[in-house]
Amino acid sequence: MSPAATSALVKATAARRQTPPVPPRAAFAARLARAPLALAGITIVAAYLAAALAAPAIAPDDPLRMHSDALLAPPGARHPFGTDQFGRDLATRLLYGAQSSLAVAFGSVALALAAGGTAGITGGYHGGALDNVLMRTMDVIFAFPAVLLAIAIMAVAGTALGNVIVAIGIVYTPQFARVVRASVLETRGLEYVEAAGALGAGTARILARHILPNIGAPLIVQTSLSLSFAILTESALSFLGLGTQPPTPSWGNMLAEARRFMVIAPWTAVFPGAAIALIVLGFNLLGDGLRDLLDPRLKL
Amino acid sequence: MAAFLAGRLLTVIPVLWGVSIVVFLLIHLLPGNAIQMFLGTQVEMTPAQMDELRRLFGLNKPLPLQYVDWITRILRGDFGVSLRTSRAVLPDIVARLPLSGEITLLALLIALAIAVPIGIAAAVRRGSAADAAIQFGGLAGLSIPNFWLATMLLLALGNVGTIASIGIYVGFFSNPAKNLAVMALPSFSLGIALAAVMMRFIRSSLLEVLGHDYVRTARAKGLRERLVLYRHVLRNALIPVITVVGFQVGYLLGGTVVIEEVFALPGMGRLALAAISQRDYPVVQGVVLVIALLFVLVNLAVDVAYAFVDPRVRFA
Repeated sequence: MSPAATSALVKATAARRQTPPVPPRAAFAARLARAPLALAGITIVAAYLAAALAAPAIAPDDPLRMHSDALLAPPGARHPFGTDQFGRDLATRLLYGAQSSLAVAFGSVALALAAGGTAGITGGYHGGALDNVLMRTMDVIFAFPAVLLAIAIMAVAGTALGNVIVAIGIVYTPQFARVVRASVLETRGLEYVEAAGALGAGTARILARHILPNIGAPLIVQTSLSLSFAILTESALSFLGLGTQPPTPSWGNMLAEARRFMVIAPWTAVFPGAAIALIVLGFNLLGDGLRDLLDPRLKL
Repeated sequence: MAAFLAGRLLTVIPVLWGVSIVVFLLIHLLPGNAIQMFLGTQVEMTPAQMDELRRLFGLNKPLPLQYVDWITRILRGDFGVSLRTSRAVLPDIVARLPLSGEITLLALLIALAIAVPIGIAAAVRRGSAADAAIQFGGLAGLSIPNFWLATMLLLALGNVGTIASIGIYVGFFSNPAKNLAVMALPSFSLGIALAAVMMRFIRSSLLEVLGHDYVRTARAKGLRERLVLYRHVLRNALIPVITVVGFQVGYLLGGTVVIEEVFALPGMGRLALAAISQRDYPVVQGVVLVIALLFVLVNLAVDVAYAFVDPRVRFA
């Protein structure tokens, strides 16, 4: 290239740089501000996380303390959400319940993300027999209804907190594997990835620099939606007595205990379920909103 | 079509094989001593007696051989014997199959009855306030736990007439009216979340089809909007819904386990939950296997139905 041509090119590039594109992060923030539903989702999720973390500080009572003078007390000044059959403060138990439910949800989704992500990347990038074995394994897990598989694992493994996380994590692993694998397959064939390979970049570099950034968007969406499923599954397990064990409060086991008393004390059944529904709605709003923001091509 | 059917059947076999391995391992990897667990703690045995029992049950063989023994019996229809009632497992499961199947089917019908008209309405009025409200309602419907909805419905309607007949199950063919009265609430509680999923899918499927050129052509030649919708759009937009049905049957089959518990209905799910609390593992194993088998077969049927109504699938 002649010096003149080079300087022309430099000038053209500089000219293009004079009108800098909006930095991606700022653009994302701007779009987020115009997406009220996603914003509502973030607000709900953040409020729950804050409440769960701050539970010991903001809870009005001890979650296990029984007030024998206030059994099944209706919501009022002393107990804003009422009390249960042992006179335990429901507001406090709901706050501590957020700890168990969110811990299980985040733990299990992290597990599913790690296991499914690894399987998806390995299978998608290398292909061949390994890919086949991995994906057929995922098919097998997928062949069980999610809640049923979680129930079966819990029935055999026993109801420890770690087991709940593993059980739900296993159940939601195939979704991540499929999402990641599809994105890897889509990206792997792109010319710039092939170019990187031709320039001598190793597998690790190609994966980290060229493929991972491209699977971020679908992965974030999948994570948010999986968190909503994980909350629902955890509460179903606890409701059936196979998840978080009493007296440790979780929304599911609170609801199960409330069933015997709900006719005379409806608040015991109303609030735990509403707590589940609201956080699940939060994750769903967030997932939906993020999908629209990050990747408009993705449909339901 | 024959080639498609054969190909699809071939993919089902490894999945079923894998399912059987998972169900087998679920029980055989049980922590602790399986025999002692089965017999309960009240039975004291000498090590020699334990070895004899192990030999009797084939537990001294290597795991793969145990699997072969087990799967051979399963394929012959021998699902073993309940540890609590000593009755054969399979007939007990089959006897409870109609109830769980009925809840699943009714929930599916309820979901379709809600989702199709609302999904169409939302797509046709895209961007309107009504569309936004429907969209939000869909998300809310997805978010409500089915067992809580069921509990709230019981709380609100619990003492109203026949609905109070919680746990009093009558077979559909012996008394259809009574049966449907009992099944209405369970099926509705289960179907709502599915209605939300399908409504969202139908809406986006319709929107996609509405953007096609042939729809514009139909409008351009002066066809009334209603005819465009009925004659050109709906057919193409609703066919993909079949695929969602197959996938979501898993949600229904899993959900019925929980819903049966709420309404004290004697279905497969309740059988499994009772067996879990009694450590009656052959029954648990049997129910899990039967439900997974049902799920795989329903998906196969759905795929075949899809290929039948949409020839493009067969050649894809």
